[in-house]
Amino acid sequence: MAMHDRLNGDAILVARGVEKHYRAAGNSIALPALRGADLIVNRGELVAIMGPSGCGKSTLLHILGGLDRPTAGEVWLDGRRIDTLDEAERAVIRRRQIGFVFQFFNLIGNLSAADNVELPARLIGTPRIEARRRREELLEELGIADKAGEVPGRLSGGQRQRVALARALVNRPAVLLADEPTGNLDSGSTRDVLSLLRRYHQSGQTIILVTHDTEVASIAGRVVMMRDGRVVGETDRAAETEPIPVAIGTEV
Amino acid sequence: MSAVLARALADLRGNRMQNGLVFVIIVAATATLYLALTVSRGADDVWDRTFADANGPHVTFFGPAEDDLAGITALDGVTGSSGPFLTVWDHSLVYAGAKYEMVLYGLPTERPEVARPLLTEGRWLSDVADEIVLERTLALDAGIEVGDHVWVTTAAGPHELMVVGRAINTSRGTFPNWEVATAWLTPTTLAVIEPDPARTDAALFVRLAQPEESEHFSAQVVARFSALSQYGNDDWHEVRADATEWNTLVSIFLGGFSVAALAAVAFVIANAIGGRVLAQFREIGLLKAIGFTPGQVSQVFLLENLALTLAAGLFGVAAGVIVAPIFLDRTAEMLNAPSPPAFHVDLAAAALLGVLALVTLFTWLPAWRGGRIGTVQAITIGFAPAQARPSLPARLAEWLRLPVVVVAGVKDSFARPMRAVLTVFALTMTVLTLTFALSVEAMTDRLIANPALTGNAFDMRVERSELSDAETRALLVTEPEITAIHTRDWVRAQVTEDTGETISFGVRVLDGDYARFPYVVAEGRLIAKPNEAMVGIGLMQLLDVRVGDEVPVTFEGQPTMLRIVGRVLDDDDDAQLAFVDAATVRPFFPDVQPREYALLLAEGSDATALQARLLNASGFDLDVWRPDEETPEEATTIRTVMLGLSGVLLVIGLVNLLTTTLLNVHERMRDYGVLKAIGMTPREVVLSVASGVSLLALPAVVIGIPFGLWFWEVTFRAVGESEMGADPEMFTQPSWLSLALLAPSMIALAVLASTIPARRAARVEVAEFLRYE
Repeated sequence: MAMHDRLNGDAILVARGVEKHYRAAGNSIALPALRGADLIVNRGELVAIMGPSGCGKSTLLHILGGLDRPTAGEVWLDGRRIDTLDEAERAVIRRRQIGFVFQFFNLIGNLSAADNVELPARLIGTPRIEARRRREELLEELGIADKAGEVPGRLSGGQRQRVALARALVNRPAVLLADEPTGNLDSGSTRDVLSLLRRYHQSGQTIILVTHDTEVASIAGRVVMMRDGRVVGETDRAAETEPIPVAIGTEV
Repeated sequence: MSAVLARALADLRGNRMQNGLVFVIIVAATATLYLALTVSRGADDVWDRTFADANGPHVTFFGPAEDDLAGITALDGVTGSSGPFLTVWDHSLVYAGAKYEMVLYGLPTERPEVARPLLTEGRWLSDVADEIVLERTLALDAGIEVGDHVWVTTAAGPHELMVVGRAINTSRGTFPNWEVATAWLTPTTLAVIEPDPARTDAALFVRLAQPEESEHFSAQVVARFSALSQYGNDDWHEVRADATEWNTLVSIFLGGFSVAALAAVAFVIANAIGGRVLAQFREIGLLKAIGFTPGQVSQVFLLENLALTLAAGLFGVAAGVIVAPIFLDRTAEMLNAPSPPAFHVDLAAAALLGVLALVTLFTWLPAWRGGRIGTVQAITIGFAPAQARPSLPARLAEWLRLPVVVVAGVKDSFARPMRAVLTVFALTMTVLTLTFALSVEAMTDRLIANPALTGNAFDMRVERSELSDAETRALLVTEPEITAIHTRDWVRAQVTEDTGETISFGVRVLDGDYARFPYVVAEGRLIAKPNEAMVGIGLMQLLDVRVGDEVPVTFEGQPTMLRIVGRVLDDDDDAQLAFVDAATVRPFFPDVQPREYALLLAEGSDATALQARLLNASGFDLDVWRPDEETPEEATTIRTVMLGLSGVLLVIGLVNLLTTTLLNVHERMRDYGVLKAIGMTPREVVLSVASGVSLLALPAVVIGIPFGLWFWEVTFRAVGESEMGADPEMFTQPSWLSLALLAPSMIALAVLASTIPARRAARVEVAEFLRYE
């Protein structure tokens, strides 16, 4: 790797000048979703990306997670450049190093909760016994061990998101990416999921979450603001005085 | 109603690939059904018309002289007759280096009322000497035109004649199916060809009040006029069967495969509709939310499918009409009749309605269910819950420690058990058909490779016309390549049943070294002594006898006993014949000289050269024939038909598989996105889909092959043995190798067919679908 490729030793995820243009079918006009976004996320951080609808925050998240390729710019994951890799290579990296949580859960409908959680572990070739042990552990931690045999259709929104979270964490990923993780949940479930995210962050998990909800963003140590496809600002709470933990929904 | 229509049209437009596939198989099924109906009607019609035009004879009697036949015309039941006419056998026609065995009728210049030869080219005979009218198919085969000169062998050497016309004969089967061809001459010319009255026979053409009873009538005649017992007769049932035999065969096959094709279509429809309903679960909920009644929702599905079926059905009928002449022309060509029309409105309507009814039936249930889906459930959940617990195949895959990618694919394939079952069924039909086709091919190959199985237990056969027996033997003896000779002659015998009914049948008389020849004796043994007989299975069934029985028979009205020592394979006369040693019949036919010589050749002999030498040495008097000279036309035809039909079933089965897989993938599109999001590579997705597909093809192979073999056996017994005198010994199954290759080939084909949906799944744009709900 060249000199300028080695950055701050703590950076786990780096995006530099990332652009993304969509070309509508049969249309010569390209629609820009990202216009040169820059972002550095360090190991162990909990970063929230915020912005109005259509600002490109989900697009950026997908590109950071290797789900999509940028039209221009660079993306580095744990010291390795990923934006130039082909789909299969990115998939392999993703299964080991990235965990995804989505707004609409995206669990496999005809697999039980336990099987959903275990799937990424099996994909990387984890021995079945080990995979089984890990999933039991996660289901226990997330308080849904009694729902292990149920299909997603039978679970509440909050329970499904916890299954999704377990699935995302089963391979101990370098980064957990969450796209509006509470967007589809009631306030009680929202509280639970946020508290879980905080807990895992405190034990060292790097988390990037996308949200439009300031109260969700308040659990993050750093909030990145986006507008019109660019990063326009940042608030680093860690640099401020110790934040007062605020429970979501309580009146201040 | 217009809302329903609009919705139906929108659906049709939206599901192009799937609809395209359903369209294709309905076209195929309708075409096959239409063909089956048209062909089975076609040939019979043409023949019946020709027979009526010719005022064809229900029986043609042969006898030694005109006086022996005259008495028949006065019998009860005879409504008309022509003749008796002089008839001469054992003369050959020579043209362009080829020889054809003939029966020559001496007819007047005024064509007879019964069995009127139907002129197709040229004119009928006039008083001018040395004119000849030829049977049409012979002339076509030999390339003889009106105005050409041909030669007929006589004792005084070849005699030249001019061909003045070509005509269709309804009193005998057509050349080359019946080896002896027909020609007509004036009695004067005939007398020049054959001046010896002892070698001139007579023929009488008879029409009956009760044509269905013709066989019974003939038996009575032969019983009454013993002079006729050696002469046999031609029955119109045989002649008709010969003319229509090919079409009967094809009809049976087409009929059988129509059923299979329609069954497969039913499965595909049920699959496709059921899947469509599931895929549109949510849309259905929305439709109902905006005010569609359950009835209207059902109507949408019905309308879609009936519209599709109607369009496809019309194409199918059109395809059938285009293809039909291939089957219909053959018979028409033989009879020089105009080809029967390929288009019959009533049959087209029948085929169309049949397919429409089938589709309606198999659409109705899923469509009804579609209408019944709970609105709220449909909208909120958005999908019909698939089976949660893993199916048996999925659990098996897990237990076998197969890679998780494979297990996922298997789970997908069997997530909807009904759909999986239907698909497996349709594929099973395909495998069954292919197995059947392989079996037919195996048997055809075997019969061609081993002519003894059909009675041609020799390397070469020679027939003499004018040369004497001594002269012929003298010629044969000079050829060192001929290692064995025996003669085969033909007489007739009668058996009187307990009911008083007389049955007449052919008897092959063997003389010489026949023990060295590869006659296939399926049961018992070869004849060795006088009064022993081997019989064909047809005769065993006809007389209801078994090996070991003693049967009283008469030759020329004189009784004797035959002991049946064996069952021999020979498909002449539908295997209704017996073989005896010459010593058995010599007391009854002391003066008869053999005409047919069967030869065995030394290993590595040049048969073609030998054939040419014998022809030349005999001055073209000898007729020389080798069983391996030509592939029977039936074999080529059957092969073509089987190939075509197998192709159709293969297409239907694979299309069904493709439809199912497309449906599965379409339903699971979101899941594939998720799988890719959590790290499955595109290749792994393809593997997953392919695994699922293989697992659908596997049971089809496991069930289809044994069933195909069983179905073949049943068909052979029912059609071959009962209808065509095939001996059970002829029954052949395909080799283990070909079956062993069929299995993996089928699975490979299935996997290949799944590449389209698999690639779709692999190419799901993860980011795209995550963007929207």
